[in-house]
Amino acid sequence: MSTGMIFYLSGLAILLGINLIAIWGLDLQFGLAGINNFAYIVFQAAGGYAAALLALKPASAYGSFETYIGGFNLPFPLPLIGAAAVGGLLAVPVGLIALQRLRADYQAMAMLVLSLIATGLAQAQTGLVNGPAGLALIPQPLVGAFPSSPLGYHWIFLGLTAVCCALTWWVARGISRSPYGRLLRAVRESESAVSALGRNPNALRMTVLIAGGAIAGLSGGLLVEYVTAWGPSSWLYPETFLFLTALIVGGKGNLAGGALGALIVPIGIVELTRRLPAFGYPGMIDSLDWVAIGACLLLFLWFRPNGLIPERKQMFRERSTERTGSRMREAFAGRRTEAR
Amino acid sequence: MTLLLGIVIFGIYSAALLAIGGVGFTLQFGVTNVLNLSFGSILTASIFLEYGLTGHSTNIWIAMAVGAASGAVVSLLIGHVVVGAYIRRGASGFSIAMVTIAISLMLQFGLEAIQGPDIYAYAASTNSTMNIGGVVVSSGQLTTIIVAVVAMAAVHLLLRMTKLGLAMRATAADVTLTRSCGVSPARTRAVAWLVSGALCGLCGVFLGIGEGSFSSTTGSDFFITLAAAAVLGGIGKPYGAMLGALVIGITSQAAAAVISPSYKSIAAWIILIAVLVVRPQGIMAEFAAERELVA
Amino acid sequence: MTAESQAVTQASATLLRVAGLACHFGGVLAVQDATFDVRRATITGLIGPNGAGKSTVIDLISGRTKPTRGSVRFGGAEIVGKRPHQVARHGIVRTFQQANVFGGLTVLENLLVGARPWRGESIAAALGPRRAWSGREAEIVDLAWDLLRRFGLEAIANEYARELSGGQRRLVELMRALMARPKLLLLDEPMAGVSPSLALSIADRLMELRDDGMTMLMVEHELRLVEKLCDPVVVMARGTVLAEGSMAELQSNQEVVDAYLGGGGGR
Repeated sequence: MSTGMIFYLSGLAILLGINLIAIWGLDLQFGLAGINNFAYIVFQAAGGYAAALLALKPASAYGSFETYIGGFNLPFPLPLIGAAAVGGLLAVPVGLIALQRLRADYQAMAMLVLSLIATGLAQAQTGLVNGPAGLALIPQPLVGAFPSSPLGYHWIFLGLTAVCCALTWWVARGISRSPYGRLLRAVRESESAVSALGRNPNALRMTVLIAGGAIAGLSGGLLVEYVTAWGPSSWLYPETFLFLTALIVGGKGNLAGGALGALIVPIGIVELTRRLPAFGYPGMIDSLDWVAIGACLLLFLWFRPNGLIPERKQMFRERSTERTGSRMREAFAGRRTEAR
Repeated sequence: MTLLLGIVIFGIYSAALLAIGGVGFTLQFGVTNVLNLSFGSILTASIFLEYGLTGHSTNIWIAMAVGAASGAVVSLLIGHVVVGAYIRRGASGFSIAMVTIAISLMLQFGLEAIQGPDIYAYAASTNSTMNIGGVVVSSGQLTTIIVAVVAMAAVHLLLRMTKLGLAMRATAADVTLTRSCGVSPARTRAVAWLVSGALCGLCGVFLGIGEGSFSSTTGSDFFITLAAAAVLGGIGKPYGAMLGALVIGITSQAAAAVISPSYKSIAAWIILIAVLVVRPQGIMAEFAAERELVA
Repeated sequence: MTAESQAVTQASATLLRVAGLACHFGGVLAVQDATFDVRRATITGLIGPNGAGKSTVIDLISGRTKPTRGSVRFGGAEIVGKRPHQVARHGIVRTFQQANVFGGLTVLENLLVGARPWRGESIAAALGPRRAWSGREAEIVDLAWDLLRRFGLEAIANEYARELSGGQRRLVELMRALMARPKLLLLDEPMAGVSPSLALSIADRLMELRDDGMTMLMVEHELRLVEKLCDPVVVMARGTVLAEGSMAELQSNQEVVDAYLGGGGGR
């Protein structure tokens, strides 16, 4: 296998990892808790900007060809931690605005508008994050930490991504298997019943919006440090639908479904088609990608709305009436049932 | 003083443009109860179809007719055929929203794939201008205002004076009342998609005239501002949309003049968010629990 | 609850005191002046013709709707105007007119959510060690199985609630409400759409619970059930309380008979 091919495949693996993190984060909000977060991309973008502004030196150090706030030139891992923190913090105002008891499609529209406002502001206020041109030359983590070639650095970054992926997997899994996760699913099913049982649905949704937002921020930080550039054109509102389609196709409410969705949509449809010989005008393939994504959505919403791997049923076995020591509950591996 | 006059005049022009599209959007929601997030792409499609079918005609009457007709047809196909199929299958409100998003993605990017990302000069736009108290207004903008007024009057007549209009108002209030008007609910919904599509196409034509150019993103860029007008006035209420259009038109012009031109749309979007947060049923809703907007 | 209000609760026979409740719905006065008491360890009925405001009163007590005036005292504490989850934390659990189960959760999971709010269900607990909450969770699971066995429904424990029949859903909602051993159970037409034999068996369960000391306020249309289960009974019409007493007393009350029992009301 040529070095070029290895470089390409490892880069693909990095992007897969970043998308896995983003999709699993959205799954907590959308799959578990039923929040129609059509503004999810803004969380990833905020994390990306946070990492960039923390890692970059002040604008003047680069000859001021870009204007932006911040620029603290912090070393690894602070920009990534900052990215996750900002993603989580952003959830608070967004949640306060859009998490009230609105009809599902209204809530979706509200989130969409927030996404547009965010893009609009980023482009209009050029002093914030350099407006439409975006930020470039973003420093990468751990450069020079271990002596290596460009391919060697790719492996380091892949290792970093894998660690973040594992962390996200551990968090998402912990949440979905816990009483808290069950409460989130209950909120998804019936808010009024959750209230009637003494829990505050808005508070529950806010916590998962924050958790998912932090995860999205982390994915944004990684993405930005990998690509070393970030501008509004990278996070326009349709990008949220990339992740949503991945969940609808792969299956929401479970990590395997999210992973499958990540392979099919952002990697399969978007990344692999980049490799096709260019035809038409530059960017035509990107447009066709979106047509394909729209078509996928329509097909799956018709034939298989629960995705290829639907949410798993949590089964409980009836314990015999005599106490058998401390191990009192046995939840055995669930059947994969069509959760229609 | 000229600044103020400018804000008022261009505010009214913006309002006129928003009213045409906004009334279409809100009328369709009122009758079919579907929040059509692909409305923007219908607008784009209408402009492209009109541009292509009329061979880049510069005649404004032909542009209006073809634009409205294209919008009506596309809207009927999307709303009645596609979305309707999902509704009959029992899809949830969220699924329907996703369906309209999927359609808008396919339509917008499909157009871009076919036509390219270029910006086209809109043939039917005009160059003649008028000077009103120091403010330079183009004849296209004046025409927009006049057409908007005529269109609003036509919608008013349709709703108040025709059997079909009565059926549409009945469906908006309570679907079970429709049959007592002598028109089937399915037919009423189809007409709603047609009329809203026609208004959408008409709006597209005047957007093209006003901007002087169009591209595959024109509709989606403008859509949320249209939705803002509709939601502000009370979604489902055509007269509310006219009021909402006026408020948004003038406010966004003021924002553009006072803050910066790039804030024109942002101001409208912030108003929309404020409405959704504070009073989702809009200005003109009579009852708080209207239409189950609050879950 | 403070020590003194706890003492008040234990001592007083009146658990819930509703006074002068009123509420508007966009120009319509749904409830004008609701005043009645619910005594401890009773199944108090709430009956009346359609539109009398009975379900609205339940909504007002449970916090789902905000009243324009009036007071609701539960065990000495004023709970009017509190949000539903706050009211529930006082020990008041309600059921809904349309059986309100968690369709995408299994029957057992529905019951697990019904347990009293506890520390292990926070996000912090979810991210921490499993040992910290698995013990209590197992206890709640056992409680749920017990309840299922008592109602004879162990067989459907692992079915999704959305796949159940209407009557089964009502039972699940009731069992879920019982998981927290509420001090007051608000039942909004619990037997609607349920087969007569099932209704009788539910009625027996409710009476058992009452004999164990639970208090219930029940909106119900089926007068034979009301006669069997409820004492006292509160009659509402046109947004106000007409009378309060046992079914026998009410049947000899001319005003009540005219409004509901004799002429057009009742089924």
